Parts: sequence; C-alpha cells; structure tokens
Amino acid sequence: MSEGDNRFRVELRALVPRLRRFGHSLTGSPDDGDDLVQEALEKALSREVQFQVGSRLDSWMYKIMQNAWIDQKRSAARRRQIIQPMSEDVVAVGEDGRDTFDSRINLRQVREAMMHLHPDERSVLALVSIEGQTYREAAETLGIPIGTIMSRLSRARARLLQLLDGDDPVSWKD
Amino acid sequence: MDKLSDEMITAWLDGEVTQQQRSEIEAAIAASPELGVRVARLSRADRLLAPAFAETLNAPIPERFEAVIGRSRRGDGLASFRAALSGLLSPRPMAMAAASLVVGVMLGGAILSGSPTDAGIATDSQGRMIASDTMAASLASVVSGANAGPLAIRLSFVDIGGRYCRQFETTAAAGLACLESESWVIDTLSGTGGTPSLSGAYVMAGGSADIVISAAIERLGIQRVLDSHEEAAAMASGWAASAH
Repeated sequence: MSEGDNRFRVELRALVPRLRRFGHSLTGSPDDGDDLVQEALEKALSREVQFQVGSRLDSWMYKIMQNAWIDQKRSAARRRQIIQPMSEDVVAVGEDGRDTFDSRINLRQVREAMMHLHPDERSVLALVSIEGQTYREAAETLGIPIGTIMSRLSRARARLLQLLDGDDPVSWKD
Repeated sequence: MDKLSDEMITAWLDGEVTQQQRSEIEAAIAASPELGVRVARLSRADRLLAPAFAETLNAPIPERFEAVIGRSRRGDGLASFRAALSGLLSPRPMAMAAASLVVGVMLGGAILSGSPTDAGIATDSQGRMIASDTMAASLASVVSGANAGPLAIRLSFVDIGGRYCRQFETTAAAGLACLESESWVIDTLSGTGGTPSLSGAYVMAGGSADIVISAAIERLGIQRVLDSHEEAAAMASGWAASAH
C-alpha cells in the first residue's frame, strides 16, 4: 500500500464520528445513518484516485453521503414509511414556571423535528448547523448556489422552531 | 439598517457576513431589544441541534467501519509497529504523553522551507522540542485543508489531556504539535522525504510518517475533532479558550 493510501485511511478513520453524526441527522436513525457511512466509506476507498489532494476530505465525504442518501430515497420512495406525528409524551415537562423555554424541549424532540423538515432543508441544516460547514462549503457539497443555502437555512431553522414550539404540527410529507 | 431579515440575522450568527454588514447588524441589535429577542430565537435552533446529534462524536468507532477502513492495513506492519512502539515507550508510561517521538528527521535541518533563518523547531527551557516563532505562527493560523504556504494542517483536535493539537505537514516533515502554555510542543515529528537521518531518539525507515503519526494520535487519544467552525473559533480566540 502506498503512503498516500495509508494517510487517506487514517484521515477517513478520524472523520468517522462526524460522518456518523451526519448520517444520523440526515436519516433520523443511527442505524440507517451508519449504513450510509458504510456505503460512503466503501465508495471513497474505491474512488480514492478521484479525491483531489488539498481539498477537504470531510466535504468530499459529506457529498458522497448526501448523494447516496438521495439515491436511496429515490429507490425507496414508494416504500417510504409515513412519518408519524411528533409524539406528545415529550412535551410539557417543567411546567412549574421556573424552567426556561428550552428545558421543555428534549433532544429526542429535536431529532424528531429534524425529520419533519423537507430533505433539502434537512441537508443544509445538517451541514451548516451540525457539521459546521461554511455556506460556501455547503453550497459545494450540495451543488447549489450560496443564496439557496441562505434561504433554505433560514427557512429550516424557522420551521424547526415552529415544530418544537408546537405552532404548526403539519410536517413535510412526500 | 432599519429592517433585518431572518436570513441576514442567521448569516450573521453563522459568521457569514462582511465586516461592514457585521458592524451594522451588531449596532442594530445593540439598539433594539426587539431585535435581540429575534436573534435569541433564531440562534436557538442551532443550540438545540448540536447536542441532539452529538452522541456519535465520542462513541468508539464500530468494528464494521474499522473493518472497511483498516482491511488492507492489516499485515502491513502496523500491528508489529505498534507493538514495537509500545515496547519502546512502556517503561515510562506516565511520561509518554509528554515525550516527543522523532523519526527520520535530521534535527538541525529545516522543517520549514522558505525561511533560511528559521528551521521551524526550537527548544524550550525544559529541553522540549517546540515550534519556532515562524512555525508557531503557521500552526496557530493555517486553516485545515488549506493548500497554500509552507505548512498544511491535516487535522485539528482536542486530545484526551484537553490540549489543542494539530497534525501538520511541510515539504520536509509531518508531525503533531499540541499547545501547552502558549508553546506548540512538537509531540511527534517524522521526515517525509529523503534519507532518514537522525540525531534524535528513534530511527525508522522512511515512508513511515503516516504510521508514526496515526500511532501517535492513538496514543494521545482524540477527545474531539474540531470542525471548521470550532477551528475558526479557536483561532479567533488565539487558541486561548479552554479546549475541554
């Protein structure tokens, strides 16, 4: 194995925790997310020659995952589960008045709300808000203009808050 | 700026506005409590999202991924190298994290090219190998993945000991430097080219830089890898904020 190949693997390995996080935030399931990571790792290793040295490996991997996810969704479109309404049991703790706004929201609710966003909005939110990509990086990963990143991001955040605050229970459906 | 769109506020929150816009937005927010409430609301989404998906970051890497990534590395000498390395280092386990491992580098030769007066490496009063001023400036300011200048950064992370560490590469060497009381201590340094030549500790064959560095990263332990936002924030604070 060449030195470059070995370095590539070391860097891929260091990225795995973040790739798993990205997979989870896209698919809403740690297992489905890991399947996506697995697919992307296999693709990356078979296409290593296409990776341009000096560009960001994380962006390249996110892009592979994003594309694999879109492909999966297309092929599974007819079998897609109906997204369930957000569960009620996680709302309304801490009603003694002392709690701040956010303490009534638990992390599971946030993950559920994320899954109620349109996939396009979810991708942008995952890349920028969770993975920490810049607008330019996210635009390259998704192959869309920066202006679209800005508008989707703004919409996605507003939508997420609406869902969490219960202003609007209607979720995205395909 | 009379009317700020949500888009503009979120762009400001993300650090994606020009200096000029930034001053205007900050002045507007300072002048308007109503705007402050909107800012707080808009920043809430991110404050909630990050912890909601943080679970995998500190989880061990599942075997299925190790199998994919490491498959062709097995039998490549890595395991025996690790065994040899731990044999070398085990007599002083507590001192291990502080020990520098220098491999295949001619000390006194230049780590950084382009500066005839500064080789990149200096020694501090305790005899530790630290980055010279020029090199330290690069370590503190080069963005991961940027492909310009004499030094490139491959990875920024916080080690188990809570130090900021950066995996760097120059034309002559590759290594790891970790920040300790304002000095970038060179934890590991490995030559990447030429004949291995050494006046330091251990001699290894050339071409082993990656193995040396990956073993060193495992030895230090990654607490978390910095993403581009975290890296930018650390840089903006002069790497002063606590890495814990």
